Formats: sequence, structure tokens, C-alpha cells
Amino acid sequence: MENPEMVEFLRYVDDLIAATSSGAIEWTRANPTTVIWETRSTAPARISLQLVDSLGRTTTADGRIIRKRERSYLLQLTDLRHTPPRQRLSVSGADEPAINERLRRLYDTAASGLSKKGLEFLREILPPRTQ
Amino acid sequence: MTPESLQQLSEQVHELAARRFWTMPDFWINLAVGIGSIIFSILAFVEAKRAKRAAIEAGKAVKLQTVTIELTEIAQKLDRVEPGMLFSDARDLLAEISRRLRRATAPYATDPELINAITAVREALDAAQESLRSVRPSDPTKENETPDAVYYGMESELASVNNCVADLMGLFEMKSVAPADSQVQRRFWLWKRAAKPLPPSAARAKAAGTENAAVTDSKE
Repeated sequence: MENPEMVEFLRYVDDLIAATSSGAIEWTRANPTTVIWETRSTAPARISLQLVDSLGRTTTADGRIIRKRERSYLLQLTDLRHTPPRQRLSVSGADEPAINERLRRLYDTAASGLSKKGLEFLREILPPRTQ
Repeated sequence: MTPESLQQLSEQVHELAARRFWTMPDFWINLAVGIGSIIFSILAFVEAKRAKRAAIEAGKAVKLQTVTIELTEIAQKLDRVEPGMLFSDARDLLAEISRRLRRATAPYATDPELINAITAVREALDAAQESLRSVRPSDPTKENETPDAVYYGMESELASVNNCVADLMGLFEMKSVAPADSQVQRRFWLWKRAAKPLPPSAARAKAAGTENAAVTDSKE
């Protein structure tokens, strides 16, 4: 059963997805598996979203325990008004599949946007095709 | 010399030449001394061979203890990994433990009692290298913007390496307490391993090259 905080958080993630899709939020890539968005508008803050691959254990139908790759997402919110910056929120999708799925959509949307921007810039700098 | 003394001397020489060698006490004394010498030589050879084998076993035992101590130090380094780790620190740590693990386990790579554990360690190290690549910062000057990214990206793989190191430590400790008795036993293990057919899941996984069947196989 979802608790009210989780429902509220999922709503905010949906807002982030929508803002990313519309281009209102510009993510940047910190490393191959982490994207960050830094805002200075109202309250300086940074959101980082990291893709984490880990080895988990699952039980098969016949009772054997096998290891398999599990992909989860970690979202962290940092308040930049303080020195040093303070972490306000850290949510791991490994704890809750519903959250993980939503964060996956956010990550994919952000990564896709980064790729598109990169391709657009590449298209701008390439010389025109000769026919 | 007078002819009579020459005659006597000649008769004595003839008498000595006519006697059989085994009727002479000198022969038996020399024979006994020779046989005794051979026996003591053989005994000395056997003892020297035993001493050599004991020295080799003692050397192996010391080597096992050295490797166990090395693995303990590696495990302690992995225990100290914590959030806030920089990419350069992670790279140096992984390079160090990778080098030390491979060096420590290389002499035992074909040992039938250790081969599975050593293979698991090497696979875990490869996976850790892969995870290190996934957290390489795009801009090293901005690494402090995501201070925990390296730790979270590598935590699982480093824990896996630590677990494999613990397995190896246990096996080495067991080996130092109860070493294999002889080359015959070692050859028996090698033959048994070669002759044993793989379970179907392991055979499929070996063909597919996946990780899961290795764990499943160990459970079976």
C-alpha cells in the first residue's frame, strides 16, 4: 500500500518527466550513468539521478537461489544554499519497484534529451552534404 | 735367494692361485662392508628424499599462509570503502587489489580445489572494472557535484569481490590445515573434474557465457 509521501514523490517525478520532455529542464551528464540538473531560480539546488547496476539474489520456482543483475535508480536532492551543500533527499528505486519504474522513465527521458542535443550540435557543426 | 726358497715361494703362489676367492676371509669381509655401504647409501637417499619432500611441503605451507595474509589485507582495504570516494581513489584501489589478487592466486590457478573460487574472483574483478568505467566523471573538475556517485556505482561489485576474497581465504586456510596427501590425489581430482559431465544448466550457460549458471552449478 502506497504511503502519502510516496504518492507525492511520484507526482513530483512525473512533473520532472514532463518538464524534461518539454525542454524546461536541461540535464547534464556527470558520468556515463549519472545525470544532474542544477537550478538557481528560486532556491539553488541540484538533483542527481544515477543508474546503479547491482547483483541481487532471487529464488527460482524450484527453490534454487541464483544471482542476477538488477538495475535501480538513485535520486538525490542537494540544497546548495549551504556550505557545504546539504543533502535533503535520497531515494533509491531498489527499495520500491513503483519508484524505480518512475525514476527509470525520468532517467531515460533525460538521457534521450542529452543524446538529441548532442546530435543537434553535431548536425550544426558538420559541413553540408554535397549531392 | 736360494733355489729352495724360490721353490717354496713358487709353491705358495700356486697354492694361492688355486684357491677359490669365496674361500678367502678377505672376500667376505669386503662383501659385508660393500653391502653395508649400499644399504646405508639407499637409506640416506630415502631420508634425503623425505627431507626434500618435507621442505617442499613446508615451503607450500608458508606460501599458503602468506597468501592468506595477503587476502586478509585486501579484504580490510575493501571494508574501508565508503561514500565520498573519488574516482581516482577508486581506480587506484581497484588496480591495487586486482594486481595483488592475481599475483596471489596465479600459482594456484589450476588447483582443482581452488579453481572455481579463483575464477569467481577474476570475474568479480572484471565486473568491478566495468562498473568503474560507468562512473568515470565527464568533467573531473566537477566531480564534487556528485560526491557519492562513484561509491554507489561500484558498491555492489566491490562487495562481490570482497565476498569472493572471503571464500578464497576460507579455502586457503583449509588447505594449509589439511593439504592434499600426494600427487596421486591431485591427479585423481583432475581426472574426476575432466570426466564429470556438466549439469544441463551449466552446459547451457557455458555455451551462452552467462554468470548465473556458475552459481547454480555450485549449489547443485
